[in-house]
Amino acid sequence: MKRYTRFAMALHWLMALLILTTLPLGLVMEDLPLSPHKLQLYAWHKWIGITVLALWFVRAAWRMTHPAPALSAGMPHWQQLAAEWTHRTLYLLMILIPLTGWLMSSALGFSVVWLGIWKLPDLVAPDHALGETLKHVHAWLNDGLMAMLGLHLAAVLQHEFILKDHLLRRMLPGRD
Amino acid sequence: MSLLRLCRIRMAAGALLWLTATLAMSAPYVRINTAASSIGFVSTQMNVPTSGHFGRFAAQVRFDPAALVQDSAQVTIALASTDAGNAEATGMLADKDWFDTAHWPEARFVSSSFRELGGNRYAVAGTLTIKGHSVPVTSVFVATPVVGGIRLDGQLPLSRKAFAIGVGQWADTSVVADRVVVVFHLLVQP
Repeated sequence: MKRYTRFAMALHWLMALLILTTLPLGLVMEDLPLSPHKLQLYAWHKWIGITVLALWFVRAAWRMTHPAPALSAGMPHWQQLAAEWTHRTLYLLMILIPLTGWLMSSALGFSVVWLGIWKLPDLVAPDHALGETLKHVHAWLNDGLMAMLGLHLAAVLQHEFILKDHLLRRMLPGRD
Repeated sequence: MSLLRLCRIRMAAGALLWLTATLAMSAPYVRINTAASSIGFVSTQMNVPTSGHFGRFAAQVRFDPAALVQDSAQVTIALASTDAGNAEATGMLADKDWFDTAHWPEARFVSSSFRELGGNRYAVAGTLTIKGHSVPVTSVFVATPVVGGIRLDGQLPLSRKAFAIGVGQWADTSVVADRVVVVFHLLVQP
């Protein structure tokens, strides 16, 4: 079976780890009462989100210059289409979510200071109403991301345990 | 006449003109135009600078760049009018751990001396009292004459811990920094 390159695997799993950390962080932190702990969580959430945004460009560049390893032979057309569009949607969400996060942070009057070191430029001037709108868009896109991640994972399980064509190995290191 | 001498004469004439102009407008600035003035602050949480401002304040200022010894300033800020730049934080500021506005409604600055730093820059030393703590502070500001008055733009850095602002769980300065910078823009008229 033809696999992704080690570089692509590293990017995939690193981003998976970062997204699966910052997404639940985002879900939890919002409803916490204001405390130093909450401010820390917000900072970490933003640092990880900006890291995902930066890695996105590396990953998109890799993907645009390298075709994905072939899917299993004889896979129904609709499944190929579903795989194609789930991946496209995931790529779209992986850039839109950190971007809307950064935008809402700027609009709500908080600059993003990556790792507490590098102050990113504010994308928009403070505007509370815009900030609230962006907050909803950010949350809504994340609902979409969770649905897409669910599909992504369901497909992995289906290929691994029902179809048994072990497509997952394309994304795991090992011998061909 | 040498060029150098000509220059010297022109410089002397210029200095004289400047002196005359200064003397002519040496009436002190005493009336603060609150509508055209603002007092805010920048606090830092997780290394993120965040701006806020004070909605209500009153000031008695006497500022005359030519007679600094006689100058004075008294500024009183209604702390309940503080906007921390974010609704959640603003809502918390009245709490006991922060300003405790029920017991300490005002912050007050009283000057003790003014000093010239050169180039329109001045320093004012004084005492800042918040939450019953009186602490000596110094502010550096720039005085810019404008039509109908003088603008005083400056900063006053302070330690929030010195005033017990943000105690209890907020005492940790690795999240909310100890240093808070008060930023003011005052228009004072004759």
